[in-house]
Amino acid sequence: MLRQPILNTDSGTVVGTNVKLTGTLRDTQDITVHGQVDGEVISDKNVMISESAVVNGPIQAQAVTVAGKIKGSIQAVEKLEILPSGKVHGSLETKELIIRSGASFNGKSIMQNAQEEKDKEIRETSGKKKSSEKNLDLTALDYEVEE
Amino acid sequence: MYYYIFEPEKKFRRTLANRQLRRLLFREGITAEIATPNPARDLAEILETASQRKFSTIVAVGEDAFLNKVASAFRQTEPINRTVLGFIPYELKGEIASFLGIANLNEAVLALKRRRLKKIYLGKINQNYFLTTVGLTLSKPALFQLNIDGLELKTALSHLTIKRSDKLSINFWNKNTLPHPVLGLFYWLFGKKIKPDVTVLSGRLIKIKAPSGITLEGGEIEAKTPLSVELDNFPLQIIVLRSKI
Repeated sequence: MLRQPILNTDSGTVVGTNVKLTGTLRDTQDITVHGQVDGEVISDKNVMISESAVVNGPIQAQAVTVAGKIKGSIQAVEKLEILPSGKVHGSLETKELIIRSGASFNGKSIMQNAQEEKDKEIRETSGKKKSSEKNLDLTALDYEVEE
Repeated sequence: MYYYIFEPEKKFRRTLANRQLRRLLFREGITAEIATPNPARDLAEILETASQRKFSTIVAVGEDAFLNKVASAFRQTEPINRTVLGFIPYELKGEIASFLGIANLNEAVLALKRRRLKKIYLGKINQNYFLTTVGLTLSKPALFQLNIDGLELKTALSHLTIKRSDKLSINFWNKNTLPHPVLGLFYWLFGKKIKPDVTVLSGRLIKIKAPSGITLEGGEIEAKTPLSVELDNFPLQIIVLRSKI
């Protein structure tokens, strides 16, 4: 009975422990990797990289949970969690980042909120600059009228 | 106008089921001509006749293997006509009944009467077609090379199933990597996790290579590797009990 695993094809893509994939793994549903993937992993929902998994390539998803090894960038729109057994070598980009004690991360991380705030700050600064330039013009105009 | 193709009766149990079905069809007012394949008149010939006589609905009645056989022959006989295909599956816990959303004979007859249509694409292996699944089981795992829509993979496997839906979904695993049932029970009792080794992938075109011509089976299909499994380009209109799909 235990030898026959229950297959649920509606839950998305699953890569077994002893499987090695080469190419782009893409699904609109969840992707769970227990084996090795050499290439991109792209999902419209969640990606779970289990303890036995090795991914050599970028990952893109709404939420990514890492318990295995990843060499490549991770772009998680909502949330990225690196579990104690997780090892990531590459850049991270997400809104919410959780790195558990014992996890390993080597690379650059960009917080999307921080990036948005920085962009907003730049926009505001440039806006202020423009308005002060406008004020200067008006002063100049006033001065000219006075002359 | 309905045209029924009944599976040849091999068992008395089937004769009784056929009688019950005929009564149900009569009650619902959808009785019509009935044909049964036999050595003198095979399935292709029956479908050819049905096509020439312009029946609007052909209904296959029997077990899943027979229904798969009718669907494949139907696709090969008249690929461009507007005939609708209906099914009355006798395996009520089988894949076809589940796919159609039918739980009993009454519902199957009701579905025919309501005539709600669904467009589907059959799975195709070489020149044969399948409605639900094809697969293989090996006593010893063998090394396979698979290509799913360009995604390459190499693995040893003992079980492989390809299920047809909007896409082809391929599931495979290696029985040697799963624990023995007794050990599995031991693991379960002590809360130890069993390492999963089931792979589930999906795509429209699956190429399978194996070292020695292994046979993939399903319904009436028997195809030796290397082979390609794909979704058919031409849609079929089939009758379903929509509320349950």
